[in-house]
Amino acid sequence: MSTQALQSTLVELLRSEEALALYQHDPEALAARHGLTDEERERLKAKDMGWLYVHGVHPYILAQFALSIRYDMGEYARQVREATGYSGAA
Amino acid sequence: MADLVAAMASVHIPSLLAAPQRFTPAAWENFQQGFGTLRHTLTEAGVDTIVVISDEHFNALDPRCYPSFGVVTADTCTGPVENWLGLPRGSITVQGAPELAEVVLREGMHQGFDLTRLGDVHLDHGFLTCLHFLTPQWDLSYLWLIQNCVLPPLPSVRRCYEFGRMVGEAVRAWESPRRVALLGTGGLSHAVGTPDMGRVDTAFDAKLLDLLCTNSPALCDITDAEMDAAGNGTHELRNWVTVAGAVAGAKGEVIMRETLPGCGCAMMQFQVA
Repeated sequence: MSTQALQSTLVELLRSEEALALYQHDPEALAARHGLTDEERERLKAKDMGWLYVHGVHPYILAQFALSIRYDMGEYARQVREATGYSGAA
Repeated sequence: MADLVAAMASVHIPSLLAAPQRFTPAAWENFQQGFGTLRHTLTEAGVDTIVVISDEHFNALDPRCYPSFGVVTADTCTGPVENWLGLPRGSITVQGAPELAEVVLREGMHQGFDLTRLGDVHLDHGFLTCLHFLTPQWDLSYLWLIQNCVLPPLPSVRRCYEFGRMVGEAVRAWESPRRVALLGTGGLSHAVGTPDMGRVDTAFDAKLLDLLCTNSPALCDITDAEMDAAGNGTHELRNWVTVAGAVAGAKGEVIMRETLPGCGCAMMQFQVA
C-alpha cells in the first residue's frame, strides 16, 4: 500500500480544479500521475470512503475530499463507521 | 511600540460560509450577535493589525511537511483554496504583516521556539471564516500564525500557551505604532471525518471555557487524550490557549455559546488592559 501516494492524490484534488476534472473524466490518468496501485485507483473511483479511511488517509483530507466532490456526508459517516466497526452514539 | 489592544477567540465552523441555510434563525442570530460584539471590540480598540492563530487543514500545507508553529511572512495572501466554502476560489486577497512576522520569527528563535518561515500560504477556512464576519472589507493587515492541531504528534497545550506568551511579547516589542488584536480560531469539541463525527462533548467544552476565562495555569495540564476523547477537531482549542498565553493574567468572558449538531461553538474575548 502507498498511503502517501493516495493522500497526495487527494490533497491535489482539494486544491486543483484541473486535477478534480481529471478525476471526474479520466481517473486512470490521475492515478497514473500519482503512481496509485490498481486497488487504490479503483477504490478512489468508487468513492469508497470507508476503505480510504481505514487505509490511512487523514480524516481531515478525506472529509474535505468528500466536500469537494459534493459527496453526501451522511453516507460518508455511514461508510467510515461500517469500515471501522464503530458502534458509538454520534 | 505596538499595542496589543484586543484578544479574542471563536469557532471557525465552515458551514457559516458553506451552508448558512442549515442554521436555525435563532442560531444564526446568535452567531451574528457574537461576531457583532467582537467586531465592536475591534473597532473601539482601533485595531489595524490582526494576528490570526489557527491550524491549516491541508488545503495549502502538505501532510509531508507540516510545522508545529509556522509564520506566514508574505506581503499578501489569497484564498479560499476550498471549492466548497461558498466563496469563489481565490476571490479574497489580504494584506499580510511581514514586518511583524519577522519580529515574531526573531523573538521566537531568541526564546527557543524553532519556528518555520512559511512565506506565502493560500488561505483556508481556518483563517477566513471568522474574519469574513469580523472585517468583511478585509481592510486591515493580517499575520497568520499556523499551529499544528491536526497532524500528531502535536505541540502540547502547555507549549501552545508558552508560544502565545512569546507572541504577546513579540507584538509588544514591535517598534511600530500599530494596534494589534489576537484572534484564535477553531474548536470547540467536534470530530472531523472520523467515525464519531457528529458527536459533541458539552462538558469538556464548559470545562475548557472556564479555564480559559480564568486564564488558569491548569489550562496547560489539558492532555491530548482529553482532547482526543472530545473529537479530533477539539485539538483546535490550542489556538484559544495560545491567545490566553499571549495575555497571561487577563481574564476572559464567553460572549456566545451554541451547540450545533456536530460542533460545540463559542466566542470569547479577554479583558486586555
